Amino acid sequence: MLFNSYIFIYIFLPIVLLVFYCLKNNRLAIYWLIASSFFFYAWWNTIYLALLFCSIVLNYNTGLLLVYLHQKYTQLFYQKVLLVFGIFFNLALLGYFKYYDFFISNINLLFNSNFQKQSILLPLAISFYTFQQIAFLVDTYKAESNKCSFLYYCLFVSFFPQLIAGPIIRHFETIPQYENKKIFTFNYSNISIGMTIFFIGLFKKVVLADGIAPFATSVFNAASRGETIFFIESWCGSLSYTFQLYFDFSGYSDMAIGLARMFNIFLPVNFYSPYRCTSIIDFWKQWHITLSLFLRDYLYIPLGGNRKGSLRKYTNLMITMLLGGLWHGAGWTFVIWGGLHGAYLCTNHLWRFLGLNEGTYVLRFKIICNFLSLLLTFISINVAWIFFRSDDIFAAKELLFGLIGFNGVNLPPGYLHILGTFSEILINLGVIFQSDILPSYTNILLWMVILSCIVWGCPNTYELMKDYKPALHPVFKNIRYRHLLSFKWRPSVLWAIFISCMFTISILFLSSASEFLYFNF
Amino acid sequence: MNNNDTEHFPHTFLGETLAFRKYFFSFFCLNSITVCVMLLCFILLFYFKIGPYHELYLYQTKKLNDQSNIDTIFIGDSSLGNAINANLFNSKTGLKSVNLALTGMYGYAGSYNMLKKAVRKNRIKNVIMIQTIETLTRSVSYDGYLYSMDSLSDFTELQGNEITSLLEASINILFSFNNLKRVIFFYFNNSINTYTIEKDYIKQTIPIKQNINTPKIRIKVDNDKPSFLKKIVDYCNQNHINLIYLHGPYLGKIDEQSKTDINALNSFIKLTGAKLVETIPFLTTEQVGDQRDHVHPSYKDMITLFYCKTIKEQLLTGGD
Repeated sequence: MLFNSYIFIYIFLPIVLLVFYCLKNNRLAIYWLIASSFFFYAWWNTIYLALLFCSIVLNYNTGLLLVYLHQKYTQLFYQKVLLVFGIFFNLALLGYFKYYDFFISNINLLFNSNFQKQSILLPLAISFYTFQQIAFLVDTYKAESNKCSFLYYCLFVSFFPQLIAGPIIRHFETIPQYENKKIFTFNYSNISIGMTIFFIGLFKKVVLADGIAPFATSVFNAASRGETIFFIESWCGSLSYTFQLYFDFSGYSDMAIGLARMFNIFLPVNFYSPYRCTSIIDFWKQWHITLSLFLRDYLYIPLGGNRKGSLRKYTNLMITMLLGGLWHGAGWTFVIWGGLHGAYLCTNHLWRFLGLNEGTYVLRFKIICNFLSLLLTFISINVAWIFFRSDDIFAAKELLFGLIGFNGVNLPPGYLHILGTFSEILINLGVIFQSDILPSYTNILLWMVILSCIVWGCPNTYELMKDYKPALHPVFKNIRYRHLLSFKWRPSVLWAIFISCMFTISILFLSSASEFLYFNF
Repeated sequence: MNNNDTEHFPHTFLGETLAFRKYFFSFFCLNSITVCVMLLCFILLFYFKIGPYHELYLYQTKKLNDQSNIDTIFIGDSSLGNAINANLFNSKTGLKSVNLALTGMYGYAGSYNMLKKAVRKNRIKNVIMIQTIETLTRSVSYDGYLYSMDSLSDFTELQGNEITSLLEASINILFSFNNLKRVIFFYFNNSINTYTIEKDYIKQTIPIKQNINTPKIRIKVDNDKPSFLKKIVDYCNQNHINLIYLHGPYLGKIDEQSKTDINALNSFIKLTGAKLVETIPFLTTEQVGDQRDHVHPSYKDMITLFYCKTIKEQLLTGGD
């Protein structure tokens, strides 16, 4: 079931909310939430529900055993063995369902063998619930988590707002909330705030992300078919995807946070205007924050982090980003995407290490330097997304060539008359008046302007609602950003009308809505 | 009250509950009004029969009412509508056929309902089904099923997931922006004229450019797609009807991957039990109409003759 479906909005959610608040017994309400979450998951595939449940049972029992071993033995040997087993089980599950075919096709390519691929259907959310449970096991091993009841653990993994595509939560963020009896009481403020965040997310996904999506799809599909992608087409396609992915995923995260809030549960922030960042280091602090934190705490730091010298630090960064890339999908394009970001991060750290971000000129021309940094960061991210979105490396190469201008420049034939005599000059300069992929640039230009204004000119959901604690971890208190439009949300009738309008528009466009991009990962 | 409580419910204790209550109810009322308006539009859409391509649907069903002794029907999407001249086909085969092409929006589901309608009124011997090769890449059209439903029996024959999907499609239609536009447009103009019917099918728009960068064919088939095709096959078997499945004309470059994709598509169709003729009439950029799978009207007869020649041996005639 999709958050952006009528069934979810008009049937599933109201029923779950109504029953949750009507049940006077807290334990029953938790059972109800778990049952609803399992139903929500089973709507997609009943068989894989069993897989989710087995994974929950096994991880919970491994965690219990770890706690028991901690109490019984002071030496960590047995705990370590058990932890390795737990992590191995989770990764094996992920490896089989997500990477088996990728592994086989590479073996076949490398050794000219002919092993059969299995075309396994990727269980929805497996990447997310696997990571959440690995984090739980590691924390239990480090004795940072206490014994909790199976019921709460089950809800921690399966709670439907965050089950499918995050935010990746950690047990200490939500389990104490489930234990709080206050969450079972209907609360107007939380339900209103939750609804508002949910509908802002819905608007971002259905209207903005799905609105720009056709432009990105047509360009990337054309590249996959081996068509020549010209300069403007390439920029339009890649920028469209850059915006689409942001509004799609941040919209999904907002919806998840809003939904949880309707049940009086606070989830962590996942996106905080990442395209406003002036460096890649900052970008990763504000893009898919819960994944970045997971990779930092459970991969980068255990690898040694920055504690073992510069060379190790950069190597660890590269390994973390390469594996982060692979986590997103079983394909070399994802590995290249991760590698590119690893290289960006290394360069950025080196730049800071050499003190090049604090030079005299940088300080004197701060505004210009900030603008250039923002532009460079954004373009670098945009280039990396090309690999992320492309079906294969050849398609990505075609788009990159187009981006640089190697494939020439084109304009739609309609512009031939609009530009009049100037078009002759352009033809002499080598511009081709032919465009089969994007027949008109007017719409795409309009979309770009609107989305740019929203990204760089408007407050994000958390700035908009910052007086009402929209999510966990107010870690962004120190980020100050001057907006073109500065406004704050208030629980007023005027805002109710405004959000209702956004909701109505979203609802009207919902019938053509698509799946969230991150469902594939 | 402990700190944990204030952490979780920061505003319950700030005296803003009343404001939130007002906000919540305003929001609730506004959205209830929206739902009521949409519900009214939904009822009007079906009452005035102004759904998308409904004019075409009425045009095609009228043929079944107006003509008698039909023994052969063509069912399929727009690739069929633009490709077959039923009169020419009749003169070459001696059969009495009608072209009941709908559009891609109706999919196999719409074709299935058309088939049932035709069989109810005539003794059909041959069903020639022509669908574009892209059909199986599209999602199952429950909208098409809903728009082409005749009676409640069409609904009751569905099972399990199909009913859920049909209900989902109904809700999608209920909240569809395009349908809202149609109702408003109909209210002010008393008609919906988004296309005209000419030469037995929807009049084509401007042909796609001659210098088109012809794309390579790529088809990814999904397991759930042919459920209604299976129903068509079973229905024809039960009624002893000769069903021939053909691919519609198409403009596209063929490479190794395309061949693999088309082979996979063919095996997939054959799995349903359909008698498939694998030949695809590939179009040149000169022959293509306003879509990659539409023949230009001036080549309609040529393609009809091509199909006629391809399947003539397989058709059941009067004596069979």
